[in-house]
Amino acid sequence: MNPITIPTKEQVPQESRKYFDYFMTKLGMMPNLHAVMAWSEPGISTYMQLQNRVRLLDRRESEIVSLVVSAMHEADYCLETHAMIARLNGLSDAQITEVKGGTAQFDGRLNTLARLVHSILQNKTRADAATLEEFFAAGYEFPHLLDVILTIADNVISNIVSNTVHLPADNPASC
Amino acid sequence: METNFRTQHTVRFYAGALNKSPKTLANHFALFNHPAPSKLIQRRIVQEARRYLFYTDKTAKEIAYSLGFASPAHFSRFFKNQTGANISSLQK
Repeated sequence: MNPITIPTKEQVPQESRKYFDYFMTKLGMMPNLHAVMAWSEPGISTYMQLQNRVRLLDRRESEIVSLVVSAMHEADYCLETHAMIARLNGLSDAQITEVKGGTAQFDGRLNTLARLVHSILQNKTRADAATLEEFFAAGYEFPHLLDVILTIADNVISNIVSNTVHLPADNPASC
Repeated sequence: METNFRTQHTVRFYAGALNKSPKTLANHFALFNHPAPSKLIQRRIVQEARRYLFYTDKTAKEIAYSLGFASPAHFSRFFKNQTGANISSLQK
């Protein structure tokens, strides 16, 4: 077995197969990222639990975090997916391009979020004090910060997976 | 198609953009064993609808209008026909 191929449902352990059914029902396709993670049942189930948790950040905020993290790690597969999700949630292509650079000046609150995430990663997990202060001044509280951290972690996992196995884009014809 | 599928659902529109009749376009597709043009348009709309349902908090009504349907009822019927599933069953 080559560990870096994208498996079909039949190739993965029995306990991982339900995730193929889940995505086929919901999305009509199995994302390559989740397919690769399904080689390991604890791998896919732990990751799904992280993704499907109750969140404090809304959809747009989560995508801001994902775009900043994935851009810093130059994770093409993740960037393509998150640009698509950000567009569905109302961000323009120009806004998405800006967020990939670590700012979101089109919205003061989102800007503090983008800058905080950028600062955390750039400074090896130690957020710049002034940037953190601006984040809280924008109305975010400590539980929000924890959700930001979980969202960063979720993306670090998927960025490493996609960059390690060189994940091809989902549905090249339609993306 | 990628830029227009949200507002244009007919083969006639895409054939026109290529200076062909819908019939000629369909024949070309058939020649290369490609799914019919109408099928491709339907698939792309279904895919986008699923993405909205999975990745956003938009209501069925908002999605219907985003995808160019005349009414939410048209959209529900289209989705059920294409996927066999009800929209509400895919909403979280």
